[in-house]
Amino acid sequence: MINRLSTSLAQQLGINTILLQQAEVNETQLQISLGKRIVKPSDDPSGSVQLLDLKQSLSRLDQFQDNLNYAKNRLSLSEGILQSTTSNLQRVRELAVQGFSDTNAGADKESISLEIFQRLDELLSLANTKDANGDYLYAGFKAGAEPFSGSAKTGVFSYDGDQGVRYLNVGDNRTISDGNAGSEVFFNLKDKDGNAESVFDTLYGLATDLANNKPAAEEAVFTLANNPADNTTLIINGVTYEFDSNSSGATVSGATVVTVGANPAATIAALKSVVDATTVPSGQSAVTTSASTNQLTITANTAGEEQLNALTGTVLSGNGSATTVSIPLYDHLDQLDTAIGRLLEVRAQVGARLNVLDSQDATNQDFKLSIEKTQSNIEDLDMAEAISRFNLQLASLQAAQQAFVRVQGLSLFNQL
Amino acid sequence: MAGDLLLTGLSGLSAFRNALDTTGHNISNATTEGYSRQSVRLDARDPQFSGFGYVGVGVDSTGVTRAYNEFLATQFRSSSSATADLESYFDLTSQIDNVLANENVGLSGALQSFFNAVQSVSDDPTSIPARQVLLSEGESLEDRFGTLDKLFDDLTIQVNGKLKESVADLNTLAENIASLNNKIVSITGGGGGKIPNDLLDQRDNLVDQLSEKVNVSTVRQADGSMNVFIGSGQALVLNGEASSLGLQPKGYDMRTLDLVLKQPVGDIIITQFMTGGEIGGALRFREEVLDPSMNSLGQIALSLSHTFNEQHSNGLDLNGAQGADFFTAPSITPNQLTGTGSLSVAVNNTTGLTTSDYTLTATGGNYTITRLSDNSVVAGPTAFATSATVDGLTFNTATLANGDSYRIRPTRDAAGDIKLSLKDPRTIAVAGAALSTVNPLNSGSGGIGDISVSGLSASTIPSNTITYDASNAAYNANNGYGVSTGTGTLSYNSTTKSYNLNTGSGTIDFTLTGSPANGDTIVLSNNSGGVGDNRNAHFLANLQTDLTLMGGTASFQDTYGTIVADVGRNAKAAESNGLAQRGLLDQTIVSKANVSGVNLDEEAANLIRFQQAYQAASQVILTSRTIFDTLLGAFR
Repeated sequence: MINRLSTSLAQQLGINTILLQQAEVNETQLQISLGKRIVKPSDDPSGSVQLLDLKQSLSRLDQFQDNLNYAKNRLSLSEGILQSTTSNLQRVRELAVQGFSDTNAGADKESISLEIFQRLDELLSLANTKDANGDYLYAGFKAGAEPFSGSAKTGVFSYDGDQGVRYLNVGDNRTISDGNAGSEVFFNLKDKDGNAESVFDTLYGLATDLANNKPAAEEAVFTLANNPADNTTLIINGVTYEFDSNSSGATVSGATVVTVGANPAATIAALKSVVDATTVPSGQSAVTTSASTNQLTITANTAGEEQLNALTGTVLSGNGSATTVSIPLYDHLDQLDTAIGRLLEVRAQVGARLNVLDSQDATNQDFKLSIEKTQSNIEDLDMAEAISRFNLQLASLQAAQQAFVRVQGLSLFNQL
Repeated sequence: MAGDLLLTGLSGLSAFRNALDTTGHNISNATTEGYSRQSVRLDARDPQFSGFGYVGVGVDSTGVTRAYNEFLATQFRSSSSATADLESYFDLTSQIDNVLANENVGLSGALQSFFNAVQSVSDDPTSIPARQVLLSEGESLEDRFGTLDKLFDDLTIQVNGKLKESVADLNTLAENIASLNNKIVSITGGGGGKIPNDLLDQRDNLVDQLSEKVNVSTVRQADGSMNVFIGSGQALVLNGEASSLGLQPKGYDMRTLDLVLKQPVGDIIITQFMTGGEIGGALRFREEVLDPSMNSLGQIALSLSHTFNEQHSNGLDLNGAQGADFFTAPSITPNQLTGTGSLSVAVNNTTGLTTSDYTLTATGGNYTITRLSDNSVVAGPTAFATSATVDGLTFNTATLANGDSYRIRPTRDAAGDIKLSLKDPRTIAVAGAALSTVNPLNSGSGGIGDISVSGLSASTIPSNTITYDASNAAYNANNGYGVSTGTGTLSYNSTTKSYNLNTGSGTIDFTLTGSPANGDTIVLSNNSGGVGDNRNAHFLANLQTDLTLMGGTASFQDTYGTIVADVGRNAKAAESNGLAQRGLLDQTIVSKANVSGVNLDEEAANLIRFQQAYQAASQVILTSRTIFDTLLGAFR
């Protein structure tokens, strides 16, 4: 069959082909100039959604890195403060050991105590450190208010922060705390009796006791408010002393008799002389006594803890009399060691978190790299392919244009 | 006399003259749109009997016919409709397509920046600049929702404009076809049944133009007139009468137009019957791309504002006050179509939300709610007094009246309505509302693990002390813990291993860590002054990836990704189908032109052919004269 072509349509079709090829050239040109394979979602719907997800992941990773650096800065700052605090406390410990030596005169101990008071002030200001943003580092959530109050003058210390610990996102489903609450670092240290004591209390007690020339050994104070009743007893160092006011002698078997004097001071003096004269039973520490008005102070001759047995006896529940066992310097030293131990523990935690942050940093970077690679695979143009495609399209556009001109020149009318 | 050579010659002369005229007509109309090539039909005249046989007496021009194929014309129109449909659909869709994934206009980038800003605040809760940045990012998120909503609105207007233009064209075309019908009928009658080819071409051309606007079908009448039907059979032209189309706003949305057929008794909505062509494409775009995109975007806006506000209200701001609304949550306004009652609809939970519209009808004291996406009845018939919670929405039905009907479009306008509500950076609720304090003198290692607050109704949570008691039976019901001071009620969930303390002003959910010893206490109290706390910001930041949409299967970003993918897929499909359809159309145009088109080379050849025949016929006349002269000469 002979195919007859409509002349005007043939022309239109020729032009259409050229237009179509121009559009293709244009599209490829756009891809090349942007360097992207996907210019709009319809170019690759599922790919472009994947791209959106990848971009969100990238943006989140960048934010995680910001958070991570934030945590790092705060932890590094905390680490520095903790280090200063540790060396402060270690210096105090040296001072304390030095102060315990009996070769020091009372004046020397007082000057040592002065330095400890200064160290206490320094410790307070360290504990009240602010970070770069003006937040208190060891205040828990109450970062706006000074967490530690008190001074070497008052000797009363309080923690006004809370136990809050802030967590930052440093990776998908990975959070890390950027600090420690002050209660954990400086307060809430248990003493040997199970009571909470702050490191400030410890330093204050140490300095005060040194200033008062307290010995390094355990001491007990027996205070007599009124003369004791007849036949009441007091047990010191395992020896039972019986107070006698009517010369009836010992009613308690094996008791050493102390004659009650005209007033409590005289009774104390009598007690002192009897105690001094008593032979120390085996297994007990030798003691030195000193009396002042109605108080008898009994001090172990050997420095250290657990040298004295606590004072007991019926007189204690009797005639308005009481005894106290004062905290000797060694207790302060133990408490200081507990505080240093706590600091080292917290520093270890901080160091461990910094390590985790470093490895998380590396993980995030790796993840970011792999996402960028995937993103590039989906989105980026294969330049070599695109340019060769572009050349091909240009060549075929030129060919179409030339062919059009050639064909349009043909007409039978030219031959008439 | 047998045969008159002169008359025979003359008949040839006039026949070829007609053929030449027609060829000239063809050449002149070589580029006329819709023109069909014409040719003169020549028939030999009835011969004369002259004893020995029949002698021919020349030729007659019996008619002018146009080269026209009804089948190809129909095929052309259906291809033309399909192509115009896809191209108009693609043109509109690509306007969204280009924008959605654009980092500067799309929602994705703004969502990321917003949640990054939340995390920055979480890094440094007391920093006013960081909080200010979060407010600015909240504002640009609002702007981004607004921009996209505006884009969708503009496209609604564009669709309306396209419909208006097409309806005007349709009406003009219909009138012209009707008047041509009249003309053709009267001319055909007057011309003794001879057909005016050029008028038919004109009419066919008008129908071709019609096919670009909408699907068209034709029925030819015996008297030569043509009845034209559009869409799925709506009569546009019947003989010499043209119907008129118009537009009117939809009952439940003044911004969306419906197509109507104007009738003296009242306009009939025919939108749903209009398929194919520019009108069909625009309507399809509105239904398949625009409305779902708007609804999905609104779904994100609605869900984001509700979930963010809810979490925000469970925290404390820098002043220690309970978090106020962060965003102004878009409200849902049901469109009342009929009736005198009233209805209010509120969001109950965002995970259940769909992008569908709903209708509610009230009769006989009962109401029925229908979800339009799948046309299923989702609630009812239920009495007015009982409100319904359907797909995350609560329908407050108490004030309905019989005869009411409503259309509810929960997510339609949300994207344009979401607004940043907070102005003061100090009022961003970054801190958690509850604080746990472990007694430092506890001998065990028990402590609080995760802790969160919900349903906070005042900024101050009453203080409660919980104590571990290894022996007390009442406490053992709560895994050993009980409230020893305070008025809260503690309960333990053994499946999730979590505790729940209802304090009367907010519920504290927490888990416990370590192993407590008998008598250990933990105090749960309010977090006043906790300016360095970032726990609520942490929860807020988590909303970015929490699956809060589509029944708990998608995050905000996922849902947005669905819009991008759907639009992209639709655009891609329309583009490739459009190209294929365009190819088919081109094929049909070629086939049609092969039949009807003018080939100038052919016409040139015809010109030569008919010219030569004309010359030959004049030679016949010359010969006839010569014969006559010869005869006369014989008698001279």
